[in-house]
Amino acid sequence: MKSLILYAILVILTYIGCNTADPKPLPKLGQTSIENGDTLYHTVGQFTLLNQDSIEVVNSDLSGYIYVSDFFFLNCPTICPIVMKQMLKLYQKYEGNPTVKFVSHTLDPKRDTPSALKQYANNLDINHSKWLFLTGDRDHIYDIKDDYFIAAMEDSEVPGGITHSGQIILVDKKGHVRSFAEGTDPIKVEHLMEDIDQLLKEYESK
Amino acid sequence: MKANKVNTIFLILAILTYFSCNEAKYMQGKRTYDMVCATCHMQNGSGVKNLYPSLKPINTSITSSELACIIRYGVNKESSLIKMPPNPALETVDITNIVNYIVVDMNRSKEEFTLDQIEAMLENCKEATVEQ
Ligand code: HEC
Repeated sequence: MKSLILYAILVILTYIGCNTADPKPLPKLGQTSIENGDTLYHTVGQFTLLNQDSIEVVNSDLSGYIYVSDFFFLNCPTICPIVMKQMLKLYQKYEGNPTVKFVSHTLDPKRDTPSALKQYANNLDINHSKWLFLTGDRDHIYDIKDDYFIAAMEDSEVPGGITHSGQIILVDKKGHVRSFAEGTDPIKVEHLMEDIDQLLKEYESK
Repeated sequence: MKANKVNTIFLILAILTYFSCNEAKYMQGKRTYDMVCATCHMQNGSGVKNLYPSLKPINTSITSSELACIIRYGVNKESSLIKMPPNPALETVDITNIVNYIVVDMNRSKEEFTLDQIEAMLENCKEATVEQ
């Protein structure tokens, strides 16, 4: 009887051991399509935006980096500060890792000019080349948010005037969305951290 | 065996007492704080860097009467990058509870405020806030 239990424990341990040794790669999220026999994965579409130093930022500026992204606005009285606190936690963890960048998009570009975003970033006490705060043409931003699976719309009925979802999105070096987490939930953000580590490992082993 | 059981009961009692001691003294204030302030200043009052100031510990230059006024009228200085919205829906009793929660539970001050004291503080800040 006793040895049976021992065997059972051994089997379970081996199973767990196997699983951690060879984790499944993170999925590439979104619609895939097949073209000439190749599978094409969803990628973040072409964008041209301005950062907090009023310098143009396009997709290729981020290629070769994995980045953690969110959508927010300065005068957001509801979820944004909570999500920002979680972004800051992630930033502090990967501050020293040159492969990881952070990209926050404003949903209120009329008020959130590059100089307002610069002041905001200064108050967060972050490195401006590591954490980009992007603004630009309103319609362009609202198109891009779809590529990150973010829902947002202007709504004069709600405090702050914009409703939106507070996910934090993980994008890989090629612009594929690989994971996301509800930015208001610290436990889900912990899981996202594990996904970031796993994605980094994927690149290390290549 | 009997003595053991009694011991266990005392242990559980001690643990329960410990936990209830740790609970906020101003539960009503905590509840309102969690609803109207925590989104920006965080549930534990830690704030977010220099964007949303920490309330635990709270800036020592802020007096209790300033605190009461800020809760009712918000912060809307010329220099504010993000403005703190006013809370016209909060009654004086709600504000009293929040002030006590911040001062006593978060910042371990011995001083507590009565409804009348907060009422008087709010009278005084009416004009001061209009010109901000
Ligand atoms: C929408 C976000 C938001 C909410 C909600 C909010 N605050 Fe604030 N609060 C701020 C910001 C931003 C400042 C800093 C403004 C400035 O100084 O420019 C601030 C400043 C303060 C200050 C002054 C702190 C200092 O060190 O200068 C106090 C005290 C304060 N808030 C308390 C509260 C309390 C209590 C509540 C709930 C009744 C609350 N706040 C709700 C955003 C908010």
